[in-house]
Amino acid sequence: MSFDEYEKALELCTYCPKLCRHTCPVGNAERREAVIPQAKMAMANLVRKGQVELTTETASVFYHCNGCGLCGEYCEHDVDVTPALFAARAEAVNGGMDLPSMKHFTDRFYARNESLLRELHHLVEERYFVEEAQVAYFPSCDTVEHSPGVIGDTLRVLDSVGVDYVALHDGEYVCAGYPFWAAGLMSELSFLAKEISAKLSGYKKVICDCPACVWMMRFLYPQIDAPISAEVLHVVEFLDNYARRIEVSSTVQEAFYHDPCYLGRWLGVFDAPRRLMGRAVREIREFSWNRERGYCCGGGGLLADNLPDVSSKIARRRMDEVARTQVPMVVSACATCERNLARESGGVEVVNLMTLLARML
Amino acid sequence: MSSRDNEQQPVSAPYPEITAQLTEVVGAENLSSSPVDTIAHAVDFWPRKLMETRAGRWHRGPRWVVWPGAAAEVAHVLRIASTYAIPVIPYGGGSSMVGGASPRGERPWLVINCKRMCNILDMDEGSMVVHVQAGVVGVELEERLNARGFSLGHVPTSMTTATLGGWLSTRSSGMLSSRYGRISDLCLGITAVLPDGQLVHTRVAPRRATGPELMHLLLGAEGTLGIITAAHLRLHRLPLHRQFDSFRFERIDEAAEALRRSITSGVRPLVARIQRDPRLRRSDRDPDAPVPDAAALARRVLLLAFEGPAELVEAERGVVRSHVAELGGEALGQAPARRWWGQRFAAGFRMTPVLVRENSFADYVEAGVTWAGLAGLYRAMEEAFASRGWRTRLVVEHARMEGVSLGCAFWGDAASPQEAVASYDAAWKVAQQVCLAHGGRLGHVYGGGQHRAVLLDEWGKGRLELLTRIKRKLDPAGIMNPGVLGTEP
Amino acid sequence: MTGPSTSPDSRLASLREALPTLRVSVHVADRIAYARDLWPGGQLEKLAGRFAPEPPLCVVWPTDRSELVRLVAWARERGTALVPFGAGSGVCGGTTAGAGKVIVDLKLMDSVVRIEPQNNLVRAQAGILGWHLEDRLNEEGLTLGHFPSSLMCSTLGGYLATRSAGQCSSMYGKIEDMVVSMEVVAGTGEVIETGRDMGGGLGPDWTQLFVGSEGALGFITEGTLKVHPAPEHRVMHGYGFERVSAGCEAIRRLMQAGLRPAVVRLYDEFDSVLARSGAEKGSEADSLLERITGQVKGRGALPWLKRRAMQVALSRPEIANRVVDELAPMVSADGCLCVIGWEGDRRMVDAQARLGHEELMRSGARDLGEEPGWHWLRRRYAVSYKQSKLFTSGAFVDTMEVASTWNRLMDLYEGVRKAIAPFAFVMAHFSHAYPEGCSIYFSFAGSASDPVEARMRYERLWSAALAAATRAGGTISHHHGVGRSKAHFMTEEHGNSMLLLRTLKSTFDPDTIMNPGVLGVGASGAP
Ligand SMILES: Cc1cc2nc3c(=O)[nH]c(=O)nc-3n(C[C@H](O)[C@H](O)[C@H](O)COP(=O)(O)OP(=O)(O)OC[C@H]3O[C@@H](n4cnc5c(N)ncnc54)[C@H](O)[C@@H]3O)c2cc1C
Ligand SMILES: Cc1cc2nc3c(=O)[nH]c(=O)nc-3n(C[C@H](O)[C@H](O)[C@H](O)COP(=O)(O)OP(=O)(O)OC[C@H]3O[C@@H](n4cnc5c(N)ncnc54)[C@H](O)[C@@H]3O)c2cc1C
Ligand code: SF4
Ligand code: SF4
Repeated sequence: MSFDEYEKALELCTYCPKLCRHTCPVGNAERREAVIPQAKMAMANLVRKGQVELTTETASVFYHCNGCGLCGEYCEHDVDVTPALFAARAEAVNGGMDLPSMKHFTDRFYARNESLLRELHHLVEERYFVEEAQVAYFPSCDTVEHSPGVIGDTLRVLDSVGVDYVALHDGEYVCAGYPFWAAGLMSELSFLAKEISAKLSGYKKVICDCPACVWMMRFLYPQIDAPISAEVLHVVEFLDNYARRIEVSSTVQEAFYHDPCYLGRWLGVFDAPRRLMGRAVREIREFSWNRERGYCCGGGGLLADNLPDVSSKIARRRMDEVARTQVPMVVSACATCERNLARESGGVEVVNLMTLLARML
Repeated sequence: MSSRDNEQQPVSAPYPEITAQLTEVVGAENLSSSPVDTIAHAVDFWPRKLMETRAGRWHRGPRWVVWPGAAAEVAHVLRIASTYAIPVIPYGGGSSMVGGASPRGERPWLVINCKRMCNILDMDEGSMVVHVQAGVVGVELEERLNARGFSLGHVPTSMTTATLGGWLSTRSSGMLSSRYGRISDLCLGITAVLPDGQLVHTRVAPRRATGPELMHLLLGAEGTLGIITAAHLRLHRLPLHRQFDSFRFERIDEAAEALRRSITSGVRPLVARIQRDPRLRRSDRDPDAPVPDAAALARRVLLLAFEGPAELVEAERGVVRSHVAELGGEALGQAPARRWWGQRFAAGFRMTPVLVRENSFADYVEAGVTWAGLAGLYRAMEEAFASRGWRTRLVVEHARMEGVSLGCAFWGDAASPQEAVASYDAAWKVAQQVCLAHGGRLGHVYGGGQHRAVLLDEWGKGRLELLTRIKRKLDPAGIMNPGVLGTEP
Repeated sequence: MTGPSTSPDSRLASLREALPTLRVSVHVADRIAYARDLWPGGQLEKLAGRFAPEPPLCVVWPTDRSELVRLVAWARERGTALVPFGAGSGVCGGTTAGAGKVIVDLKLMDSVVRIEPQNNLVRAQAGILGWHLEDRLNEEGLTLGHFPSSLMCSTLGGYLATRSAGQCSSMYGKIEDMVVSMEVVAGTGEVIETGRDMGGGLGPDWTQLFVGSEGALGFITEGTLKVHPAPEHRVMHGYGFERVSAGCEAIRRLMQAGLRPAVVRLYDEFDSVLARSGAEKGSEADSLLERITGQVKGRGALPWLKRRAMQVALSRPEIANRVVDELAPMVSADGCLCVIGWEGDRRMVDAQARLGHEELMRSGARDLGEEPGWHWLRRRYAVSYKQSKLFTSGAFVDTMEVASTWNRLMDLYEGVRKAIAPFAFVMAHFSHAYPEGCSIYFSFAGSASDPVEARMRYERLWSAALAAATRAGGTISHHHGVGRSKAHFMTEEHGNSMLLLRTLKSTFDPDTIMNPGVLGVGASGAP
């Protein structure tokens, strides 16, 4: 996946009259021409062609993307901006021109992984970690760190519909490597992917609470020679088969559903979470930008790490729409989304679908 | 006399010389300093002036009246006026109700009466555009257009006296404005003579995006920046299917809401007016008639006319009827609206009988207001006038997407000529205060002239200040209708 | 006053000192991204590697009117030119900064101030993207009714500054018909509210004098605009006309019958083929011509046209155009496509659609059914995407939108078409109709052996086309504006009424700091 593979896309964007700019959460938050999809791609193209020197300054725009893929929904040329910009980041890394905030990224990644692994074993009773199982639950880093309750809630909901055979994956990683991809660290990603695919291929099914992890394992791993033989599903996709078995004792009047970019646009899962949510919420309110055109929470593409203010503004925009109504709750199915939206919640409750279901059982 | 006047009026103004020069331009038969003409041009229809005249205070007329026959002559005349710093009044029909067309102060005024410039220059029937000189009297233009199967669609009550130039210069609004807009909406381009005699001609296109629409500098400027000599106007085709409808409501609020919803749905009524229940008229005239109760007094009727292809007219009526029904209105059929249509110019005749009475006073307040502000302004206006014993007749007209115009004819009688003028001024002060407090804006229809400028709010004054700045550039000698619209006298 | 000759660094220092809280950028990415708008002449320069030849001094993002007022005061004092920037989707070089100028991006001022459904009004700040404004209104069940093809990439301020037109202009009007009032921070530093929502007012209509001023008089910071209920009903329909002149005549009669269609689009013979072509997302068709000729072939007609046209089309457009002229009657059995759309209240729509249909049939239309109409609606933003494909293939494309009253329209059409023909392959549609006239939207594509040659050809084309438009008595722009690319034609356009424009300019921008050069005024101003 080298930079030049994107030549056609980069050229098309360079001469495009900025036709997807209105979608870009980063462009909308920063109001800066240089960071709308067209300009980021044009800069990458100038760098590619050697017309502009690659410097930390020119490369910095590549990081103003949360990898949401929304721009692509409006592109008649089917240009995929996210991978092209992530490839541009790889180019920046190779040229030693990546963002200063990206220094020691790999070390920090593994350090965090270690501590979250320990955290996970505190969180969940050891009896759930079973070596031999058909279906394994692969919890993700943001869930462990920011929504630890979700893991227990998920297990409870699964229990309640009679699925008691899901084991927690007892591995060495709580992340499928999306951060490496977004950081342009392709060799690190490749190493990690191979490790994980070897581990998970022993299962029949792997369920995961992080949409980005699912997308990575299902679609990106095969492209980098790390295919997983197990079927990888998001929790929501898995649970959808049992939706009708969910018995709730009470319900919430109304709540918004926020489509996580990777669950929705990238994996194409729109109706399953709504069906499940329908068990516990009488009226599901839709955002004006929803489903394929769901607006990002601002949490992807390492944006929250590199450009936290921009990331918050993106979340604010999403929550502003809720604030204009009297609806007290936003439901999602991704810990990253929940964390980012909650930062700008303005008193509205932001809750994981699994937590909501568990609460209503 | 102010020092400025001293500056501008040389002590020994060479009047004979000026007269000679003017005569050379327009010909002796088109220039007059005879009292017959100067008296005729001494007042316009500003009621305050009429009241003063009634009390025996004759106003000084202009020093000269000229009737140029073409834009080139106007240019010459203005050059002469500039040279000698003679103040000029562009004059159409003199139907201004705000003193825009009458001399003021002791200066030697030159009135340029535009009425000789009254020809249709070109008629593009395919595009439905007419090119016509600005001195044409409204009704004359309309009749000539009608004869060729067209209508301008601009029908102010002063149709029979006002000229196109006067309309354009005041951005006049007629009784069909809900459908066809103001005269400025019907105008596609103008020819005008600037104070230094330069002729400007704004080019005609259905719409354009080549900078500001420059004709708008002169439209509404009330003769302070130049004289409009011709215009291109949009036309409509005759004959058209026409229908009427009338509805009664318990209160102004529902009547207004029904009209608002109709306009919002895309209905474009030819006429839309909300006025008093006509049944009350009897109690006005007949002192023995039973005094109407509060409910009867609160009732309002909505009068509508529609024009266009029959099927569309029926659709519009259907839309209106459904809104009316939702708001509890009572259908009165075609008759009341038709009756109004038959007497649509009558309002123009109502004021004179009042004003001929000694010590009476009367005028017509017209304020723009949003839909949301309408009912509040309406009631406040009614109460403010009633509480002072002044009579009023209110009408809601000129409906647009975002609001309407509230017209309020007021009249009363005082004990002396001085008191009549004082009451007149007081009434306007009241109107001003009510508007300020209830989000109305004075000066929606008749222009500003010498009168309304002083009644404006800060914003309105600020706008006139912009005009003054433009005027200093285009009219450095300050000859064009000075003192009108708050410009330097 | 410090002269403009002071160094960039000292000017930046003084700017930062004067406005310490102002967001300022001299970032290389910003100086590139803001160096150009979407003027195709600039795209050609980009192709030649000149992507930012004269970058601005800096880009600033004021957050409110008071900051703008202070910025103007600073600029007047320092003699530095300010260039208002909306989204840079302008196609006439209106924001092409030029070295040393300060680009003023208004997008931080992008809130919807209030929505007043009762008064059918919205008040919004100038920096909001059209799409986002429409989104907010839709949330309330309302619409502005303004749908330029650039809805996704342009701002309210840009619309107001250029007298923009949307696809439903025949019903909702152009932006100047929608706007009720604007707040302007003039080049004098004063804040002017041009109108009031209660309507009318005394003196000239300042709203009409500031709308379309392209930043030459000041910054438009807010606007109050009329809004409508989101349409509850829509009727779309396609009609065929043998020749474009017959179609124009039919549209004239439709508009003069007192009907207000939301969409009126008549394509000339070749634009028709393009408009009808399927080309859903992901189509293989690579270029404009390929699509045309592919369509011709697909219909089983004249397969050799494809070869002929492809060879000569872009490099020798005079021949391509002649081929097109001769083949026009044969190209397609349906002739010129005309799309008519109605929207709004159901009863009004149904009545108008029926009346309109009868009127068009009386004028000799062929009924093509609903599908061409819905097809257009689905694909109404698609055409903009063709640009980048053509540019990346080395060709140039541009559009020119002129207008006139009906009596001159055919002369205007033929005149401009003939003027462009020697330089590029040209087609046209008629898309904004009024009772008194109509606009014509020409699209043209050409190419040359190298970028320098392309640039020359492009300039000669425009000079010829603009001259032809004024000769035929049309306006040189119906809705794209003048910017810098058409500035030298302003005298032909306005004659001596340019005097009035210069008066406005000197009144509201006495130091010519506001976007000097656009609209052909203030060119000699500060850098
Ligand atoms: C009974 C009555 C009813 C009325 N009803 C309406 C109504 O329904 N709607 C409405 O809008 N108005 C109405 N008016 C007011 C008046 O008729 C309008 O203001 C009209 O536009 C004035 O036209 P005029 O030709 O009489 O102009 P004048 O009174 O002669 O002049 C009006 C102003 O325009 C200037 N002016 C005139 N001609 C030119 C020109 N060619 N170039 C430059 N400046 C010029 C004058 O200097 C003056 O300032 C009414 C007046 C009366 C007396
Ligand atoms: C693909 C494409 C399709 C298009 N389709 C249409 C169409 O259908 N209809 C149409 O009308 N136009 C169309 N355009 C042209 C363009 O989108 C319009 O001119 C639009 O109004 C420009 O808005 P903007 O915000 O991008 O302005 P910019 O390009 O940023 O600026 C345009 C001009 O306005 C000035 N300006 C911008 N904002 C302000 C402000 N707040 N105050 C003062 N001056 C300001 C600038 O200085 C400049 O002179 C199209 C353009 C493209 C690229
Ligand atoms: S992704 Fe598509 S729509 Fe967006 S800038 Fe690139 S080419 Fe244009
Ligand atoms: S992927 Fe998302 S953040 Fe990145 S450029 Fe596209 S819209 Fe913007």
